[in-house]
Amino acid sequence: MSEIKQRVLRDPIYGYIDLSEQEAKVIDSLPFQRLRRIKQLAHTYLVYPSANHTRFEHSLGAMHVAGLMATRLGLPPKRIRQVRLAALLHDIGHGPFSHLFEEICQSACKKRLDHEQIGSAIILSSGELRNALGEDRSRVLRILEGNAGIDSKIISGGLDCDKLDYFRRDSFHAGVRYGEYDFDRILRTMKPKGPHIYIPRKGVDAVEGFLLAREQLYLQVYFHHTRVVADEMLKRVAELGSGHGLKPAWFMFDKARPDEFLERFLEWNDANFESFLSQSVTGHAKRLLNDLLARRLLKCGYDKDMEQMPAIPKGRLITPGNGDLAKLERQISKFTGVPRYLIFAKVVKISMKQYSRRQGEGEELLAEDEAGEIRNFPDISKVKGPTNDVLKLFVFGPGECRDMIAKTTMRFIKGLEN
Amino acid sequence: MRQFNEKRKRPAKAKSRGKETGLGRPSHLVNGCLNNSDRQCRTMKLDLGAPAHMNSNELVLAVVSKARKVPGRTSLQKICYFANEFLRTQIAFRPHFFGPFSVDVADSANVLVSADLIDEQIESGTFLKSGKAREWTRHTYSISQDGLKYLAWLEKRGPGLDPRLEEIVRRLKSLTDFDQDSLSKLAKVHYIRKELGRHSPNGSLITKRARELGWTLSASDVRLALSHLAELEE
Repeated sequence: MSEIKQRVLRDPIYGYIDLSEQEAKVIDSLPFQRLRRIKQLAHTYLVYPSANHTRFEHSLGAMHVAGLMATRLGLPPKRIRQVRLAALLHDIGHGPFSHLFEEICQSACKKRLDHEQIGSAIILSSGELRNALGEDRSRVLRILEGNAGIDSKIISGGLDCDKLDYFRRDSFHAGVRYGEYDFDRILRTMKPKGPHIYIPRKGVDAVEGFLLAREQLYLQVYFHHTRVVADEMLKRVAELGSGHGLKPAWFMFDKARPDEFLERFLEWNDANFESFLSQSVTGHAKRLLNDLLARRLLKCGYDKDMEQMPAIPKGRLITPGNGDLAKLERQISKFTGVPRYLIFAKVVKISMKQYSRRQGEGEELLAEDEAGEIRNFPDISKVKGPTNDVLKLFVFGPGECRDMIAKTTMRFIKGLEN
Repeated sequence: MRQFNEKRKRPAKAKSRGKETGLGRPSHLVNGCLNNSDRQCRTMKLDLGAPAHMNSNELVLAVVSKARKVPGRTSLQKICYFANEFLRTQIAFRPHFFGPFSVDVADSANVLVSADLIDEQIESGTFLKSGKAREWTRHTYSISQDGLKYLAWLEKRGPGLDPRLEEIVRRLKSLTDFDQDSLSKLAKVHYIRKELGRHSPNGSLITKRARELGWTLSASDVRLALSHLAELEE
C-alpha cells in the first residue's frame, strides 16, 4: 500500500480514500473531471432531492473498493494498481444523464451508443490518460473489456466494486436505507477460485442482505415511476425535437470522424445538454422540456408487473416497433382528449437475474454450500426472490386522467389477446 | 412467393471435406446429415426471394422454435445471423469476438426469457487451459408454452413465419449440429466474403481480413466454410 498513499480524499462512505500519484494524474485529466458534471442517477433527484451525486465520486469509491477487493483476494501489488486504475476509469465513457443518454441516442437517432466502447476509445485517444496510465494502459483496457480473469470480475461480476460502491452511495445520497448491507463482512469473506470470486459459507447471510438491498434499490430508486417518467419526458423531447430544430448529428457518433466525435462528446455534461435541448427545440418538445425543468411531471396511471399477463399481449407489448405501445398511446389520447405527446406507454425491464432459482443461473455469484462445494448462489440461498428479470408496463399521462388511463390500458390489453 | 425448388443432393463431397480440417461436422453425423428428413432438406434450393417482415423478437422466437433447442448464445447469434442474411430482415450485425454479433438479437433473447416466451437453461463450470482455470457457461434456449401461444398468434395474424426459416435452420443443423465453433467460423467467412464480394471468394484475402477483425481462421477453416456455404446456399 506504500505506493498508494500520496494524496488523500475525504469520502462520505469510506472516510478517507488514498490515491497514488498515478491515480491523481488520471483524476486531474479533463475526461475524468467531466464526470463531476454527470449525475450518477439522472433524474432520480426529482424523487429523492439529495440524489445529486455524480459519476466522479462513484468512480473514486469504485477504485477504493476495487483496491480492497484485490488485496483481499491476494493479488500482487502491480495487479492491485491496475485493477484500481480500471475501476477509476470504468465509467469514463458515460454521456450526459448517464445511461439515459444512450437511450436518447437510440430513440431519437436510431443509433446505439455504448458507454463501455466509448470509454475504451477515450482511454486510447486521450493524451492525458495515455501519459497518466503509461505502460498500464493496455492491461487496464483488457480488464475493462472483461478479458483479464479475476481482475475483470472485480470490476464487473456478481459481486463487483461497482455495485458494492453504488448501492451504498446511492442509498446514502438518496437518503434511503434500501441499499445498506454488510459491506465489511462480504469483503472479509470473499475468496478467489480460478477466475471467479466466491463467498464461503460464513459470508452467505451477508450476500443475501446485499441481494435484498439490490432488489429494493431497483424497485424503489432506480425504477421509481417518477424517475421513469422524467427520463421518458427527456427522451421524448429529443424525439420530438429531432428534425424540428434539434440536430442529433451534433451529439451523435460519426464513425467516419471518431476523433471529432470524442472531442465533442467530452464537452457534454448534464447541464449543457439540457441547455442545448432548450435552445434547439420548439413547440411540443419545448413545452415538455419546460414542464420537466419545472418538475411538472406526468403521473403514473398504470404500473403493473407483466408476469401474469397472457402470452399474446405480453409478446406484443415487449416487441418494439410493432406499434402496439403507440396504438395504446393513441387510444388513451382519443378517450381522454389529451394530446398524444403527453401520453407515455413504456415497458421497463428490471434486472433481477441474481435471484433466479433456475438451475445454473446467477453463475457469476458463487458460494460454498454446507458440504464445502462451490455452487451458484441461488442454488444454496434461503432467499427466494423473483425467478426472472421483471418486466413492467408503465403508462403515464396528466394527473386528472389517471383513472381513464388505467381503464383504457386494461381494456386495450384484453383486446390484444385476439 | 418464396419457395424452395427441388434439387439433387451431393452428400459424399461434404464428408471428405469434413475430415480435412478441425472445423468438420460432428462425428456422429452420417454423410453430414442427421436423419432422413435432413437428407431431404438438402435437396431443396434456398431461394433468397423477398425480404421477410420480422423484427428481432420475432426472429429469435422463430429461430428457437424451429431449432427446438439452441445450445449456446453464440449458436443463437450465428443462426440468427444466417436467418437475417437469407431472409433479409434488416437486423444489424457487427464483427465481434466470435463472429458477426447483433445487440438486437442479444436484447431480444433477454427480453423473451424475461417474458417467459423462451426458456433459458444455464450450465457453467471450469476447465483447465495452460494450467489455468478457465470458466465456461452455456445458455440453452428452447421455446416455452407461452412462446408457442404467441407464435401461433403471429402465424394466425399473417403473413405467417417465412417458410425459408425452417429450411435455413435445418441446413445449419445438418452442417454444424449447431456446434458454436463451427457456426462461428461459418458466419465469419460468410461475413468477410460478403464484405469482399461473394463472387470472388479468395481464401487468403479472407484469412487476412479475419486477422484484421481479430478473428482466427486457418486456410483449411476457410476452405471448409466456403464449401459449407455453397451447400447452405444451393
